[in-house]
Amino acid sequence: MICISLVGERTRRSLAFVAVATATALVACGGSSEPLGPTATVPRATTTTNPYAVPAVIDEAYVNRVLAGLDQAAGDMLRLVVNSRTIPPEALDRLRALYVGRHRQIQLDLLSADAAVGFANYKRPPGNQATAVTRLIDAGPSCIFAEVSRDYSDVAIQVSTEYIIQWVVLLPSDSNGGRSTLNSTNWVYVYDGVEPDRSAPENPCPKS
Amino acid sequence: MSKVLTSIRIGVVLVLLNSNLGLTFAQVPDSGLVDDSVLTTTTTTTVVVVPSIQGCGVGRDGTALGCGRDRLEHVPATVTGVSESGTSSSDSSASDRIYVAYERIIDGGGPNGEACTTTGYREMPAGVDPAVGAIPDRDFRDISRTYPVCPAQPGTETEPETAATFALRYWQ
Repeated sequence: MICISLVGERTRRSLAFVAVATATALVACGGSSEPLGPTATVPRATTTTNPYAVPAVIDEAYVNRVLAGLDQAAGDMLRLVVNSRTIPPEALDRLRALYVGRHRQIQLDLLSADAAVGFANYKRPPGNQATAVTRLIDAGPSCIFAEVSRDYSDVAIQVSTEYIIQWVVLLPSDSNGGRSTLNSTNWVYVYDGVEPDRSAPENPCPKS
Repeated sequence: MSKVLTSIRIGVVLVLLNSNLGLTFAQVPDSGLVDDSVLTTTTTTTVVVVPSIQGCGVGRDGTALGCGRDRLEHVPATVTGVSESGTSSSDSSASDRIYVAYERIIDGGGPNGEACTTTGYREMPAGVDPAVGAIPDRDFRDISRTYPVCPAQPGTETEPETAATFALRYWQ
């Protein structure tokens, strides 16, 4: 700045122009050191991690991640049904990818009954239910048992508070014929709900 | 590098379904294409124990309870949301319940293991419109056009059940 003050007005304007042009160029390039000319394309190394890979220690955060994935898959199935105005075979496939055993038929019953009244209490389009662990009771690589809270506010028009607390038992996808493209988690529901008297079910996970 | 894909029957996944009365074994063969450059001769047997499971499921909107029978219960809940039509449900005694029929899909109920339909009933408190809050796109009653009717089980009546006969049978 001292130098600028010592030169004439014309020179000062020239130097100021150069400074502004340089700054503009730097901003345009994002300050990057990448060459501007043509270069060979070098693919960047990308690290893909499976968020549902079973960790050495299954903690609440992992189970919540799995439950969110299952909520998303169930929501996709529900939106398919509501949009198609029937329960197409693809929806059955999606349900089979989520449930194994008795609770698959239970969920199908509930879905059929809601279809019979045109999904009257469902938002258009329905969002995902939100399930979160309130108590992780048992967790191992072959079985997860947890008390959960479930929020239907993105799904239902009238939101019931009756069954906020439920219980889930998850088994590895192997018990359902292997991992499915319709369920990206490594887990399937074998229990999803409550006991008839709303008490907690006994821990069904085998003792390791 | 050329990869030779070889179909290998990896093994049998034994799913042990532990019912209350004993164990039921279901064999699920698992075969597929396996890259033999990474897989040596391996036979894997995964044993997954499915524990005895009962319980009930809650409908996807939280307002119905199903316990594995042909009858679903309306959840007598305190409604915290506001209905679009301004009405709400309430609890009721057993004497003022109604049964709303629906086409119940039975997964694997057909003779060849396909899905089929029969009739189920949803229990509702009398006076509650099951379609409360409905918007006019209720044409969901064509499920039976997608799936065949389930064959009658041996020993069961062949006449189609009505809500009245169901209620009579249920309360007997």
